[in-house]
Amino acid sequence: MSEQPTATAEQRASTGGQPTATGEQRAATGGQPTGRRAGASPQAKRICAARVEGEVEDPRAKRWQRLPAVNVALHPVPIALQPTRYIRTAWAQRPYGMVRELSARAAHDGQRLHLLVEWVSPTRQIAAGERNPYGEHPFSGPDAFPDAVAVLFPSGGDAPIETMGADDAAINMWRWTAGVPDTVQSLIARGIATEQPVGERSELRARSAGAGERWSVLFSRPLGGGDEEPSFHPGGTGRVGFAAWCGANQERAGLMAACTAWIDLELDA
Amino acid sequence: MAGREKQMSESPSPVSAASRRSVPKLAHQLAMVFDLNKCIGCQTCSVACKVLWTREEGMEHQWWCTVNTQPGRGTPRDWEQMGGGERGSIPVPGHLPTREEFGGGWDFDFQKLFYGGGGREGLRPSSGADDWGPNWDEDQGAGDYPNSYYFYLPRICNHCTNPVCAEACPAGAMHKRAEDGIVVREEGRCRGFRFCMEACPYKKIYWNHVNQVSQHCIFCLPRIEQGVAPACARQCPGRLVFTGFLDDVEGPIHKLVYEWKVALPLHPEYGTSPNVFYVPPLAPHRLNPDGSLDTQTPRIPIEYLERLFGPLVGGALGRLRGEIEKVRAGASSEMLDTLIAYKWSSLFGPFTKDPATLAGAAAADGATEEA
Repeated sequence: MSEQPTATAEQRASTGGQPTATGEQRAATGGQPTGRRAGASPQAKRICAARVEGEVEDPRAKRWQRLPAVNVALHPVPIALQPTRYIRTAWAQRPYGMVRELSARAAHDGQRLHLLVEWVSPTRQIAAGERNPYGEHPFSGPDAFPDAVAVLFPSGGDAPIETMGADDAAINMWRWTAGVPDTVQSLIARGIATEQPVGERSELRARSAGAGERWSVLFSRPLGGGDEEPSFHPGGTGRVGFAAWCGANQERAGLMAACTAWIDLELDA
Repeated sequence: MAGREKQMSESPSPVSAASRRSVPKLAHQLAMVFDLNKCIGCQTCSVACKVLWTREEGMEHQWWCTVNTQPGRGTPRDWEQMGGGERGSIPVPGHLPTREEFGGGWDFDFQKLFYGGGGREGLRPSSGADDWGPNWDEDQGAGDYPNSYYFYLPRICNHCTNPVCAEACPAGAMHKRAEDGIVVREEGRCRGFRFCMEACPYKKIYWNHVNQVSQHCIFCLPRIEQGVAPACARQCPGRLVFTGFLDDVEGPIHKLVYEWKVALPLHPEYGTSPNVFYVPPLAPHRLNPDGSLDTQTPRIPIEYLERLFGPLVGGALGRLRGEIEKVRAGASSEMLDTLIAYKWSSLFGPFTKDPATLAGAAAADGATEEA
């Protein structure tokens, strides 16, 4: 098992098999999205949200490492789906969608759903208080874009992920953006670059930890949803997707990598 | 690849279609003409704009109106090599200028700067790279003494007839106003994606890192709506900035551009159809080694001017010289009278109102002007 570190949890998730390893064993194998090449793993089909008790809202908490990680393959959104003629032409020969894989873990405590997303980005992380020669945040320049990740849920219908929904099929997007401070928003999207904050005040929150080129972002939201946010129930099943933007590559809007199909999200009873 | 291009051209996205709808049939097109023969590089236009529009935090490096010495690297530095625009109706990939390429936005220890005590170091900015700014290569120009040459080039947003910035925006945050062709941005819809900055070949769009939106010259829209000429035009001591409707056949802009053909767009090959035009610069005769006048060789190489203003610049300069000769011979010239602007208010078409006379004039530029 240890010689195939990340496959275990993913295979379990992908095949629907039951967990066989203890949490400690899984922790020992890591489940980290390191070094795996795009396309090396099949698309994950299921993420299980384990029932947990007590404090889990620290992305660095060791108990997270004892929960199974699912590796999710991401793919660049095709150039033909980009929303403007300029983008389709100017970026046709320019690589984007550089984050080809992330790892996801899920848990709930009967009150809140927690999703831990981790990935590797080539973007340099900024030390607290670091400034450019102009006394501004180092990433404040006109050519600088932040790393970002989004957890996606279909608000209704069979919303297409790669175009961030459609006119008649919205997507609820939990988007975290690196910065000073980091920001997290619950958004409704009906197409690339159409996202708007959800109508009601969202109780979504996120905590992040970055080290080197690795991001860990823990999203947390009450199980109950709203008009535009999905509800979750212990023992129930939802669908989830992911997208990521590599800031160092000036990725924004539809210039991203996303999973190509929805993944079942199963909550332990 | 060919298949993908075909698919792209045949399957425009709904957003793309929406962007094209953002260029409506216009009632009028506002335009400007800058007479480069009268520009003295005083930067009053730049400062008038800066004071009025870009004083907030996050706008330190923003100069919606800039004046640069030509030949020179311009602002942002080397902007003419940054792509954008269209060639044969195909968008050209553009570069996003960096903070360093814009430069400037310095802060100083004003106590030391104004009252001494810091030696030479006290004159340096206390923040910001001190190797480039928006007017860094002022008066350097080109050529060798005594035949060196330079001229000044004021630039604002061109409010193009083909606004590639607006079409590039996936959020649909920019459009051309149907009533006057001003390219405006709804900052509430701007998501900070900056494709407009990439696509603009003139690099006249700026990033506000505090508000997380892109921003650009709005042709002093609130002034225009009250009959007041833009600040850059009204404050110009050289009386060289014409403001008006391009389609006003009786106005000076229409005559200079279409009738007399002495005002040309900058870099017409960028494919955006700018609505800011320039009367190209004449220059004094060159000197021969013996000190006599060389009346045959232009001081400013025509190849350089053609690179800026296109192949029609030689004809425009010829017509200007012809009118000058005509006046020297004792005749009159409506073209030269127009360019001289004997009456200051003749520069501004229908936008002659004094901002000091408006209600709430304390918020206006407060200039006291006389025709």
